Amino acid sequence: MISEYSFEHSVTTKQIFDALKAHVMRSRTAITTVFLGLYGGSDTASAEMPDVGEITAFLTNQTRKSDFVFKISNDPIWFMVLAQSGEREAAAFLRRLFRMVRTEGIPALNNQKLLFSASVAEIGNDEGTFEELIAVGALALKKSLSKGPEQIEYIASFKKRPSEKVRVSILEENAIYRDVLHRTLDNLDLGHFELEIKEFQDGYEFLESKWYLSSHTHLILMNDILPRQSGLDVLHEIRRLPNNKRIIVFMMTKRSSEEDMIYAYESGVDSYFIKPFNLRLLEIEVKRTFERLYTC
Amino acid sequence: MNAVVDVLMKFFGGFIIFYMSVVTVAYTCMLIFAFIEIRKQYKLDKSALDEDYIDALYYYKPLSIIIPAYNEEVGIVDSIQSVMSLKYPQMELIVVNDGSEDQTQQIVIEQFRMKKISKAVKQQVESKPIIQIYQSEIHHNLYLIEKENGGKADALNAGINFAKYPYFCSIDGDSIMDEKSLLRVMKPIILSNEEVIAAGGNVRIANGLDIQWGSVYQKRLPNRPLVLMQIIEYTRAFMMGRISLAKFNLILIISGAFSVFAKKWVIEVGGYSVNTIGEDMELVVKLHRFLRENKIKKRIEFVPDPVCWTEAPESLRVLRRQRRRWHQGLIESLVKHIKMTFNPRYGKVGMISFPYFWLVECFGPIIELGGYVYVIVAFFMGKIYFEFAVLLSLLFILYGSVLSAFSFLLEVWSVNLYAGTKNFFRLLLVSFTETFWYRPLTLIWRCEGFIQVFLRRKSWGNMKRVGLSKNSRNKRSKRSK
Amino acid sequence: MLKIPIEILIIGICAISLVIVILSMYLVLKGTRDHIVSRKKKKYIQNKQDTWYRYFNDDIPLPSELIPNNNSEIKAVEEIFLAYVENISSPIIKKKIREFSNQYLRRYYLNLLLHRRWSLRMNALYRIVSFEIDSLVDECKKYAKRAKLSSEERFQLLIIQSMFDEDSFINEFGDLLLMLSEYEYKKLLVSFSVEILEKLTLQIDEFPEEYQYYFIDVLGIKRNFSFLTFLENNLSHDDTEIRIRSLKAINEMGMITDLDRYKVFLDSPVWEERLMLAKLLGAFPLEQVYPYLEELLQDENWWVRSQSARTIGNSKDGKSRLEMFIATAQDQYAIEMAQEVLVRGY
Repeated sequence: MISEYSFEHSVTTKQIFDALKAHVMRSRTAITTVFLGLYGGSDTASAEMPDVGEITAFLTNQTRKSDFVFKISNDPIWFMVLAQSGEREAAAFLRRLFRMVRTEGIPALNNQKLLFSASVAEIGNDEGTFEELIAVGALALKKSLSKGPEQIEYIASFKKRPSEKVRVSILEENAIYRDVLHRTLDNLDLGHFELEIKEFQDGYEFLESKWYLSSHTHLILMNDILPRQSGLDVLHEIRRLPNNKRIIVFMMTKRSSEEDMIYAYESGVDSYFIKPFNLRLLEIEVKRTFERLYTC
Repeated sequence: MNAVVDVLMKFFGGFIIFYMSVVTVAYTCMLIFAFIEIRKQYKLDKSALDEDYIDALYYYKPLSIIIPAYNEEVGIVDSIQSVMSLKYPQMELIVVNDGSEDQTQQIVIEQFRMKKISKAVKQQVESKPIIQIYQSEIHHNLYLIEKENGGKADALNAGINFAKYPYFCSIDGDSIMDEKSLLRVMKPIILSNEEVIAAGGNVRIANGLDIQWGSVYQKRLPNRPLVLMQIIEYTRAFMMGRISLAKFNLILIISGAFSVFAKKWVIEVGGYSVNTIGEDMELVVKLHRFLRENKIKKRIEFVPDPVCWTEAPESLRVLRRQRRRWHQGLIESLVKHIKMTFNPRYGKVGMISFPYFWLVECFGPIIELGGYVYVIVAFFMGKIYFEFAVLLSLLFILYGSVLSAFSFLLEVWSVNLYAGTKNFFRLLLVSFTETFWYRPLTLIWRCEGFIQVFLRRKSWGNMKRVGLSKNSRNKRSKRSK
Repeated sequence: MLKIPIEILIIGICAISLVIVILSMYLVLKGTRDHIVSRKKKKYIQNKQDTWYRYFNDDIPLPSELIPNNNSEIKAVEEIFLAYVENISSPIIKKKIREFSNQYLRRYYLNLLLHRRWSLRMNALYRIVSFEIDSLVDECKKYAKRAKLSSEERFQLLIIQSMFDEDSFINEFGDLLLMLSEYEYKKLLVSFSVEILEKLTLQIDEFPEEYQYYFIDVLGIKRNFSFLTFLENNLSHDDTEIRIRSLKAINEMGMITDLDRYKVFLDSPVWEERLMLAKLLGAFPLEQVYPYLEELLQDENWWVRSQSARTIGNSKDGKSRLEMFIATAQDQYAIEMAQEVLVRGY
């Protein structure tokens, strides 16, 4: 049955690229586009040109299933979109590819040996359009081809990560310490993350505020024991939310019992601090956590 | 005929005046003693100690809290919530549903996401069979035991059987704990090398407080004079009875609303007695008795500051029932262990506590009530007994109002729970009125209890609960919609 | 006849009423004063906590505005310091608090220390420990020589001695411990370093029995492997209690290597030792120790049965072993226990 369906529109390169670009924002995972050009390709007469179809097939074979390879019409140039890869991953991939085609050649073309150069653009935000990318990418490729074989030009203009608002809630009973925590997090430089910090005296005030219900990434720094509703109540309430992965919970405690600690982790705590602890430790932990939010 | 009446009037008059004078002097001494004790701790920063204890799992004793619940649907969530907010290194909470007929069980299961678990329970003291055990998904140390109805004592025994820690604390299902109360009530036990095997805490009245999710938010005074009077009464009992008695290991009553026991010794004496009304007093007496009979050097303490808030009756009808029951329980225990009275084998408890409880607590109300009747009769009989009547009235004022006022002042000086000048004068004023209405009322009720002992009636003493927390009240109404 | 007592009573009641009125006035005044103090305190905290934060976290000299001018402000500083000390562990902040206290709070605490009210002296002793006010240590030494000391004072002074004068403290430790309750003794020991505890293991035989027990408990709390040999040597001790506590302490460490040393407890007449063995066997692969656990599962003691069932249930493949056991065993008690662990899942 299904085979009888035929789609009215086949998807264009631009559409695929736009879809992947939109995903960048949602998943905080960069994609990287590559323009790959055959070195000396434009000088050789078309009769001597190797079979570009075979090269496209070879390249598709070399990339991951989640990546795309498109041949640019008329020119021996390929446009690749590497999903879930940053500049560094792309560069590593290209160098491997360069070495392979130089030493072993392409099997389908009787191991014919080839030389390539490339331009690489990491896409970290959804601001740039497909057309801009093509223009800038083509220019950069020209530059790298002019430098020689196996050259890589990097394009930085699409790389910038968008600044992202992150909510932070501090649930602590002692007003002075609450203030200290607030200031410490406020002074933290987290790159493109902007913290919006609120203080709460106890679990009830926090849960009533409904502040955690937005779709923002949310860091909760809380005591295990709080008046009215305790930290564990809050934790349980939060972990029942549908998209609770965006909420990061750091729990602070005065109790050093291992049993409590194990239970806290089991209930969904991301990090556990036994008081008294050093504020530097908290800072590092927060930094590392936010760095990890961008997988590459 | 007249001569006989005259002799009788003079005899009773003299007797009552004598009794009242002795009791007044005794209470004054206790009050002075309490003042000296409190003065020692005056301005001591207890939070320094609390901080010290909280991370000290190694030397702190883990503890099981047992809440027996029979038809407590209104207050139970707040009670549990307040226990879960306690500052204490290691503890578990066991809620025992003693076959409630209301929604107690469903509410707890729903609110704390209780899941059925299976666990073999070793029967160390006798109790009715357990139907099902639940454990909370939110708090791993919160359990609910569903069992057949067997009364409060039976429910507590089931809790003791289930408890895994060496100490347990019993709390009423309608009480709210102060966050530091456990730390402080356990302090004498730990510091005494476990020579203290039971400790009672100071219980206060929760009516009128702003309680949210088991935490006291604002300490406001309730409006009803009846409740205000009970606030004074609790203060008085605490200042004049508990502190001094505990100091000399003479205490026979630690409040059932909040007390800690060493499980080992409670099991040793067979747990709570199921067939008594005042199971808390009965247990303490049994412990005293066991210790003396086996010549074990252990003590029972009363800790002045741990605070547990409990709901006081707001209507005369409920208060009357409560007081009758208290008196019945008291007499029952005294009668059951009558052989301890004036028995040197039981040391100070036998020689001082028991006679004191017999005379002042058990028969005292009858004598005092007799005094009130005497005053009225004497006024009607004219000049001859006028002086008796005046003297007795003055003694009543001294004993009732003045001592209450002093207890209250002492309380304000040391703790000052209800801050503010207005509250202060309101309570002071109320304390002065004690002799004129509250005292006679409670005396009548206690005498009723005395009479009822002979009629022997038992029940859980259902108190009509209005609930302490605004939340719980709202929650309830939402649920019923 | 009754005239005189009535008059006396009336006069008495009047006098008492007067006293009550005076006391009431005093209490109302006191209430107002306390209120003012707490308001000033709050104000100081509100205005200065930012500056304090910067002083503690940045490398700047002490801003002079932080120096408290009166008692309310000292109380505010005290509250700020306590919030830091209790929640934050940082050598730098600790040092700053120590230096500040030594310089600006010394007088205040010295006055408290010499106060005739016990509770105020206690407060001072607590703060000396919290803020490490070493300039008052000599004063504390004098204090410790006083004839009448409450047990609370004595203990707090011992803590001060152990903090600031370790050598003399260790030398006197044997004599000192007799005055301590279990709680106090353990609290002191826990604060000691491993080196000091190791020194003390050499003199443990001189301690009274109970203190030997507590000492072993503390070694368990410390979870340090350097004590393992000492604890294992205790396993052949004549005193049952020492053996049980050593087993407990070893269990706390969660690792044992030499199984043969522990096998002897399988036939121990003391059930607590069998219980501890059932717990300890959890540290080994189940295949290696299953026969022993199966034996303990059929023990006459409830607690031993319960523990062995739990140990088996917690191990890898433990569940299937329990199922097998239920299918083949005879002992009804043991079967019930195994079933319970299976149903409960731990």
